[in-house]
Amino acid sequence: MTEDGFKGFLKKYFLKILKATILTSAIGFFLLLIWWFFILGFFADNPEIQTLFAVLVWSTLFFTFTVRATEGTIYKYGFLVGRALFIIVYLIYATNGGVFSLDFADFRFWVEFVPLLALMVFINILDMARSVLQALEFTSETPKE
Amino acid sequence: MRQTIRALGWTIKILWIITLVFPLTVGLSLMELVNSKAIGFQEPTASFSEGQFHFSAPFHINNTGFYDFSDINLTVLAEAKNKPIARFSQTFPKVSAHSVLDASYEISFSLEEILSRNSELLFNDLDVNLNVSLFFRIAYLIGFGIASNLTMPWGAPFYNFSLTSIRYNSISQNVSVLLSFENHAQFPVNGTLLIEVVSDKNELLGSYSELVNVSSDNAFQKLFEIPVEEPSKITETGFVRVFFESIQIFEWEGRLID
Repeated sequence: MTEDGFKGFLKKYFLKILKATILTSAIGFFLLLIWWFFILGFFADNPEIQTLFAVLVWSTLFFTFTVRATEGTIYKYGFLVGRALFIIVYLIYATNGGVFSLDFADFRFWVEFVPLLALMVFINILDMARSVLQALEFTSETPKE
Repeated sequence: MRQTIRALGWTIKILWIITLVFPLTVGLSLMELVNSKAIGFQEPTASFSEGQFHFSAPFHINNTGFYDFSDINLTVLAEAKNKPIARFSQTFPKVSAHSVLDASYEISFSLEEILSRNSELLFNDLDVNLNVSLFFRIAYLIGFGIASNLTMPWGAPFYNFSLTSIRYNSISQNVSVLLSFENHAQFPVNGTLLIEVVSDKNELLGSYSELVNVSSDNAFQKLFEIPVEEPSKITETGFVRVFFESIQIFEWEGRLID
């Protein structure tokens, strides 16, 4: 690789990865605050909720980084579709199909929000459709090498 | 294609706003209901007559929130010593936003039902476990439920029930029966008590009925003289059966003649 080629590589990828890292770190810090003040505060004795939140945090960080890092490539849209698909599966699994229950002291609380969950799934399907269209537009506008 | 993508983008944004704002307003509605003490209860009443136990707990809901409450259901599962006794479920009419519901939670069951499920409830004081669950739906979309286990002391209406001094008097041609019990229940024992004397051949020798009214925390003791209609049918051993409101609650078996 020539010196100019190396510089070009740095310019093209290093800056993208740096930006993605900074953004992912900022989101990670924000999620860490939620973990400390909310999850450990209210659900310290509930490992199931802690695990579900941890899965959400790591997947959010993963998709934030990959989508940012692959900006300007077709892969970005692949990750966007993957993110929407993951959110659909996660929402259905984490909310037990729209019925969320919690044991607190001598009481058991539960919330049924199946119509709201259906709306959230629908939104993510729309998001997937938009990402697919964006990918088609990207390929049609990118000149062939 | 760009226009389609833009339209989809806006649709997604608007739907996300609705999805996030709606639960917030539902939460505010619930806060309004809790803070304004919009739910109130009146003194519950319990009664027992004609073999039917009746419990009534009047209450009111003043819906000061933004949305209607629907599918309001209160279910109580009662069990004692891990034996199910009864299941009561009542659904209330919807409470529209800015309206008041005056209702009453009614529980009604017969003495026969108690006996068939757990006869101990008639004669022994027990701890009854109640599994109470309340469910309601806000804006017809989001359902909320709360359930808890409570323990309620149950006072037996025929505590320490006994039949003693059972003897046939050949001179007066009567069978004497000393019946006693204590009413530990929260309600009065009010009804017809029927005592039947039966031979070991299962022939009815005589019967006696009396209207009793034993108030809560009071004892009942009485010597009954039951005339034997056909003394020739009397046998050495036999049965004494006690009925309350036409339901057999007790049976004694032993010697009628010394």
